[in-house]
Amino acid sequence: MAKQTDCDFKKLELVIAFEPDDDLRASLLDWAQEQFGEDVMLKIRIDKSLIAGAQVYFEGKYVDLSLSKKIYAKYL
Amino acid sequence: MGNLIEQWILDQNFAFISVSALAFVLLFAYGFTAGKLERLQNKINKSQGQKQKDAEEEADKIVKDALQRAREITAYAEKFTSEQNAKLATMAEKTLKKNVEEMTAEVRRTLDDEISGFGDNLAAELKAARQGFETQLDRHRQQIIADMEKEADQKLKQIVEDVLGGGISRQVQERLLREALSGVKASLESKDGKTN
Repeated sequence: MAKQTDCDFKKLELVIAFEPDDDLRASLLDWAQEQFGEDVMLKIRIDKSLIAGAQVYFEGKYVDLSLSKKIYAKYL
Repeated sequence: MGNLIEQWILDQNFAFISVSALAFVLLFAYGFTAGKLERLQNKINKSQGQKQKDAEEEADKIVKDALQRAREITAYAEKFTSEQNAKLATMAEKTLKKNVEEMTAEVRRTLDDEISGFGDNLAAELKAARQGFETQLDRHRQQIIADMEKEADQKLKQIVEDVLGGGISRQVQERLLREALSGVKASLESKDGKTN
């Protein structure tokens, strides 16, 4: 079986507002593979300005599901 | 003989007398004629002198008349020349005046055109400068507003983060994360998914 390189994986970047523990990291990887396939490569980045929720970047697209966006959209 | 002599003498006397008489007559005639001739000559001379005098007077008169005529002609010519010169001077003055007026009008038209063009250009430049100034001013105003909004947003975000960020428990964070991730795939595939 040929070894996969980074170029062969689909990159998924997940931005969250807090530092995840190992259990949560594993849980997030399972979720990512379940949603986007086994060949997905998850990258987690921390940005506390999101307050809560997440921003997801995948294959040239992104979606902002953070609490800060909901708050700013409503009050700013 | 005596008679002959007497007769001869008589004859001679007679001849002498005759000759004398003749001579007398001739002398008288000569004298008369000479006087006559002298008078005639005098008369002729007198006539010639008078005629000469008359001729001279006539000549003088003619010369005087000619001189007078010449003076009159000269005076007329001078007057004519003077009048013509005056007319020419007047014409020259009028022509010069006309030329000056035409030149002045031309210069004025040219200046008016240039001033008009300058005014138009100036107005266009002022309008362009004003538009540029207004554009620049509007840009500054928008920049100031954007900076103020950005600063206000930053402050508000900081306040929100300070108030909410630290106050959300880890349990709530995980729950909110799971809720968010539950709709990720649908959101990425829908219009909510924006190009990165």
